[in-house]
Amino acid sequence: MVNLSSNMKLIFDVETPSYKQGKRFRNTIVRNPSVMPQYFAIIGKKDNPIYEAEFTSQQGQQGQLQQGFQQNLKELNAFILHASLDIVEDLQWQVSPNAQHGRGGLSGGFLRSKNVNNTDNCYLGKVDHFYGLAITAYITYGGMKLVMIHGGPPNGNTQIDDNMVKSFYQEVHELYVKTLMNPFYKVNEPIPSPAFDSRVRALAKKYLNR
Amino acid sequence: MAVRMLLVINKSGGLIYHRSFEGDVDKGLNSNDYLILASILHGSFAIATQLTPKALQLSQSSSKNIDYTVPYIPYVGMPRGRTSSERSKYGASAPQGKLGSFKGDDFFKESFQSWNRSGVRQLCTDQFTMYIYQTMTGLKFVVACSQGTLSPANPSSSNNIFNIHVADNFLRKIYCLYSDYVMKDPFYSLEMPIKSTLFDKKVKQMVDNLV
Amino acid sequence: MSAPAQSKSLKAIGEDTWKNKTEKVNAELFTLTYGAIVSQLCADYDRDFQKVNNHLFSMGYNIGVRLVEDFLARTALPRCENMVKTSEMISKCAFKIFLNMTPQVTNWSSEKDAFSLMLDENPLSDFVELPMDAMKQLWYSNVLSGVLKGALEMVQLDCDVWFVSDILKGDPQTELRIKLNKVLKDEVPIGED
Repeated sequence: MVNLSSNMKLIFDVETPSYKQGKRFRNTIVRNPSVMPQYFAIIGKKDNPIYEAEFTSQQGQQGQLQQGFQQNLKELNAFILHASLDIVEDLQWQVSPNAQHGRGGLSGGFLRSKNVNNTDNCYLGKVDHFYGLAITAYITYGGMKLVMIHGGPPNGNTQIDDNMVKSFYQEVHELYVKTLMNPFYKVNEPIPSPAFDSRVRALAKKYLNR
Repeated sequence: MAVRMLLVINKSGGLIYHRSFEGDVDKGLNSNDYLILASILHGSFAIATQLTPKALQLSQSSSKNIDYTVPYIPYVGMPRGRTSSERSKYGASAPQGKLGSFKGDDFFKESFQSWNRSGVRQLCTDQFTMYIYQTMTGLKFVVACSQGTLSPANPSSSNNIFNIHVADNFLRKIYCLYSDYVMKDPFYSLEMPIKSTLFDKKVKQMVDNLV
Repeated sequence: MSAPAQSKSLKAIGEDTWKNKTEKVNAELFTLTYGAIVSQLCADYDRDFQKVNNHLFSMGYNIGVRLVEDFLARTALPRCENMVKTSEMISKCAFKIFLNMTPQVTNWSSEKDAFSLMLDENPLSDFVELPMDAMKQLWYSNVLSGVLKGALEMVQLDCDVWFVSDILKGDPQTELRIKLNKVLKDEVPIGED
């Protein structure tokens, strides 16, 4: 019962309007709007995560560690990601997603990938949002979904630099293909390699937290 | 030089391939005779290395100067008449890989050393001439040609060395075919008789080109 | 016994044969096929990596006894007088023609009958990462040791060939050692001096 009530407390916390949250945390978060945490996962064909990582950036100057996601939100990250999978699958099979979502900038949708020989159409952009957190997605040709939650300044909507995020996804896609070339790796299995993990983190530092 | 017969003998002296060409099929020996022939050849080949004439033994030092190089003779066993202009008429359509895993229009293009130094290389009679080519792994390729080198039609032996070189070129190409179509057949066991239709076909092509 | 000086060096022969005289196949196809073989063997033998190593070695042996005929037919090089020449031929001609790599020959023993080949780039193990249980026991490219043993046996050199170290296992380089046990004098074809 105790657990249940703490969970309910969690839900109520989240439903607190964001401006109130901002008031609570203003003093602890370094004011640097371009630095935000992300939670990244690769989801397999059976909706099983095969890789997850949280990227935070570290501010060395003032000796203060940029917080990742707030502790009580951290547990929700996986739920948030999985909730957005429906939308991602929807977008995967739509012929002209741009018209429906009113998004310019991206040419054609994932289905148009067969006509181009680059991975531009794999990037689906911002697919969902959750109380100020943005969720972007990218589908590989084999049906693996790369999804990421972008945490942001708690009092405002998260801005996403599409180009940077797209480049990040494309490079992780290449790393994933290299993992597939390993004869000992079976498809849809978790990726255990520490080399893969460190490379993804290096890419995140390069593209996402600058 | 019309090829009458081709034999391949493994390193223990057993016959693994024999083929008669040109209408000798009727008068050919039966398979048992071929086996006997092969082992006799194998034995005589070995004995011959010990039968060096005395004169040659005395001048052993001069044997170091014997040149065992076989020069490359073009077009042995390769289709003739395909000059480059004709080839361009057919487009660059010399089919890819017509020489198996060998690229280019011939198996090899440079001279080479003969591995066979003191064994029998040529056996002449007036009815036929037989040439033997031995590889470093002990495999022997034997070809019998219908042109008798000792026959009155061919009295001079000045081009005999040339004949030996032509035969060496030809047999090395048969060795290349063997390494492709017999060695790379996963179902072929070593030292066993060769039962490969591809090898037969390619050998026939090469013999036809020689005529 | 002075054979006429070879007009081309072994290195030039190897390069020329590789570039102009052999048909090629896609390297990734080769790498992925070999990877499939090894991972399937691991599954079939239930992760008993010693058995996998032995099986890879015997596969290599069967390949080697046949591949040497291809090598000899293609190059028709004369017999090597000693192991130094043999090592050069293996590294400059044989590896170059078949795998397009030239491993370095090092670590000669005092009697000059054993040497090591340092493979700095191994096309068999591109993209491969060994799982934790395999890292201690599996010699991924063990087929190469079998190939060398089989090929050398067919030219009457009885050798032991084994891997000393492997990058995939975390060592700094990949080293393959070849040691001559004896020359099989009675198997040398009669007719060669």
